[in-house]
Amino acid sequence: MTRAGRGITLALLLTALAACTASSDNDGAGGDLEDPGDCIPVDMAVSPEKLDLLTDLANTFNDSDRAEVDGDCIFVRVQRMSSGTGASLIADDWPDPDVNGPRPVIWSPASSAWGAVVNQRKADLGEEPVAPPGTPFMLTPLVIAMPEPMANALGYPETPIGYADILRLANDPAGWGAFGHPEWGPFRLGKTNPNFSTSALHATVAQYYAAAGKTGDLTLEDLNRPEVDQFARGVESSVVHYGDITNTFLNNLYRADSRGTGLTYVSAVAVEEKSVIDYNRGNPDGILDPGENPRPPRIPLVAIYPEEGTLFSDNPFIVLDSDWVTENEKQAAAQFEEFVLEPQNQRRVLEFGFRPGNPSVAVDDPINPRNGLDPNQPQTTLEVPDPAVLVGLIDKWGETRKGARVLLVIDVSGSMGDSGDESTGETKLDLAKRAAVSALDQFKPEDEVGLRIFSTEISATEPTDYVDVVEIAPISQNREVLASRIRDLVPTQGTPLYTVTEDSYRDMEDSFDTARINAVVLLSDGRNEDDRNDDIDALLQYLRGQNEGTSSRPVRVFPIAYGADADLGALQRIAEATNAAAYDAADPTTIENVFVAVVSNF
Amino acid sequence: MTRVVALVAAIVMVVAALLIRARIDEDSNRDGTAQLVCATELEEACLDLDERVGGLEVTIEPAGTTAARLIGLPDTDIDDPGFDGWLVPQPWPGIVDGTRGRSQLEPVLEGEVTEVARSPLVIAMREERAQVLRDGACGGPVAWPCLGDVAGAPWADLGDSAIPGTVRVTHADPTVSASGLIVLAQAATEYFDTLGVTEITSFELETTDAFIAWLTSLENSAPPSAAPFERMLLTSGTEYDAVGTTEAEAGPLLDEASPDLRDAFTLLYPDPVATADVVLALAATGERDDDIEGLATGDTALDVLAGDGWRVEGEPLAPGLRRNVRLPAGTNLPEDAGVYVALQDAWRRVTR
Repeated sequence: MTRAGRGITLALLLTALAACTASSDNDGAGGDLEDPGDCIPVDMAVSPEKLDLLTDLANTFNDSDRAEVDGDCIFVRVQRMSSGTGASLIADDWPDPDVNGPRPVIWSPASSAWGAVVNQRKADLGEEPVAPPGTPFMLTPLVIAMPEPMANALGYPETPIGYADILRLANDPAGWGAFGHPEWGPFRLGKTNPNFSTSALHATVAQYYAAAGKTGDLTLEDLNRPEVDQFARGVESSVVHYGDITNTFLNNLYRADSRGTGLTYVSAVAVEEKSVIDYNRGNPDGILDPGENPRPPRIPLVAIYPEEGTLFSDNPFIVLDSDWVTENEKQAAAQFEEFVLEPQNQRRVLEFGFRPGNPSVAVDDPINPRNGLDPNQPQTTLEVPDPAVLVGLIDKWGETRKGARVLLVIDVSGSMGDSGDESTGETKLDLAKRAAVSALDQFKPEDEVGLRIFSTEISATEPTDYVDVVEIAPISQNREVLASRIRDLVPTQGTPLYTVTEDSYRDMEDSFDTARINAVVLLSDGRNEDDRNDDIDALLQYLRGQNEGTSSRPVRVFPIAYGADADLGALQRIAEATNAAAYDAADPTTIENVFVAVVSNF
Repeated sequence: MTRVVALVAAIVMVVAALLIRARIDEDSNRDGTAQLVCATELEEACLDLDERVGGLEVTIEPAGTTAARLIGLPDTDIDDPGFDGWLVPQPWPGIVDGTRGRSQLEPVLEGEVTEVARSPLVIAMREERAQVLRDGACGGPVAWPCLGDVAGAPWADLGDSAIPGTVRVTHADPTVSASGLIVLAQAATEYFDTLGVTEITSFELETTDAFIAWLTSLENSAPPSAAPFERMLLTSGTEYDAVGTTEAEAGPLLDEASPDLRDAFTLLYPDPVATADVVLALAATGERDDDIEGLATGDTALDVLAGDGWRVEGEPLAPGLRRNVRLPAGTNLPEDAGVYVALQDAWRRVTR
């Protein structure tokens, strides 16, 4: 691959990324930004895992006499922005700050690769680059996090473990039984979607390197070698489900651990090393809410540094060259960058579980064996492939990823006829229909998808609360029918939420396909309005009972709480009972982005 | 009448004086500061200089970026090149002059440059990996010819199966980075020296198949990096096994590194020592020669360069610089700027 050819292929990657990274819940600062007063505001968009750390450093900086340039005070404000979403927004000149948060002066994605992505996109448009090479201010390697007893069963810490071992385990019909632990069931891998998540992209790169037996110069030819393809499919076959953020797995594992069922939820999760520390501290999502009292899990995780090598997230500090950034703001940003790189602040970086970006600060506590980590690992860092190869890799992942079998369950109760977007006059149902039709394009042809709608007494015959509008079938066969039926939906009566949830779960379980991710996507805009079945505890008990244990056939329910009146609390509990995740679309105009995030699980 | 004439003359003189003063003030406002462009390798020193002296406007950018702009500057704009002086390691001013000359363009730089500071070129490695090569494949001190031979080979094949992966060698991108180009020139010079060629020409670079094969092996074991030595430290040597750079970059950084990194890494000074020589090239306009020369080569400038790890005549060595290194009279690198352009072309051809 020549350097000159990279632009074209990178444009393809960007198209894929832009299509898939337009959404991430809780991205952007919303309307709660602190007032900078008369100071120079320096807005900083950072990837979610370092939000707390950067907020902490910004607060310290803002209160110090360092926050000054040419006599003006500086006020740094930090907002959460997933790397892929940030790249898309910056490449598009950050549209709609009211929705996406203020235009940043500083951007810190998880990896420098995202800066190159933005610049390439600009170059393709004939525009100047806007993301100069940023200084890495902290690092964290990708690891395979495993519950300690499972890692021990594989020979940890003495025996090096790699992707080849995971493949063997994933392909072994005996599962953990081959290692003397049949009670743990089959090997289950937690891995996010590489279109969204830096750790997933790195994990997929590492997986392909392992399959090709290389540590650098991964080529398109390598990706297409039959044995490499076979390796990739083997590893993917063990995936629980995908998704946009690794926190979903760690939160679910933490909850399962507290119930004593963690070992049957997931066997390993591809995450950044820092996340292992957070989990073992009892803070699985890495964000401590006010009043939250972290409690370490019963079974800690340990970090496996794949023996084939891994990649670092290098967290660059990029001061943007965009039109909206003034020279004054650049100077102010440089002040903050200098501050962040100072040894005392790099020690704060370390406290938060990242490796320092200033070589004068040694890798030290908490990166130690007590937290399941090894400061002397990794031994090999893998080379980030050419953009063309990354494009091919993401495309290949789309083909080799585990197939899905999904029942879309859509609320057509009367309230769905309420206004969803006053500016266009569209109802909530109008917006949901458009988003659902659009989301169908994200499934691969072999995925099986069906459509069920629900509302009280929607059917004259039993079951009266829901109707299967389109039977589950490969989407290559029923995509048009699904789209057509979705477009035809009209609002009707009340919301029999619990009944449709339980029945949908049962139906999917009855027809469970072990080779696929079996899931229900449940969109609802209201509370359960069915007097005949209003016992959520019974529902949750049923879902948990079916979902846990080695012989279970786990169906994941991914609810979408749609509109301000949706029962987000109940839907979250439903998601948690099935070790899935709930999505909040309280603002109906965000439903399209939320659907993208939900379908990223497949 | 005479008085009237005298009065008019006096008024004219006063008005003229006022006009001239106004013009001077205007010029002073417009061009009140000397504009200095610094190569990225000199960023710290130039920013320090900017802080410590007045009358200077500093721009930091890669040498290749400045060179591209100056090479492309039309003759019609030569009176306003956008800078007064360029502080950069050799041979970049020569590359600009030579390329413009071949394009029949007027010189944008004054012919003579002023040497300001120097730094020997080094190879940074983890000590135990360097020892594996000394004991095995290199059969003695680690040098570029040997690194090119072993680049991309599994460490297990070189005598240490405990080291995972292959030998990965890198330096900064020689098409944009001053240090990257000099390191590449050092590698090529050492290689041709093994063939008995003491003075490389563009013709040899283009026609020596063995060199192209060797260069292909050397340059494809790892991609280039903007700050390869810092990256090497931050990843504890797991990303690169050997990095070519200047002592000015690596020495102070290693000296300030945490003790475990200081103990783990070593800087090798290939024999014969080759140097990066920083020069001040002045704009051909010559408008602010005295200002910029005074600022960029004055005592303060020399002080900050020395403090930043460069070797300056009469200035103490910064921490982290080796004391017993004897610098050659010249750079020990090719003098012809055309050779460097040919090297850049060869690098582009062989890299993936």
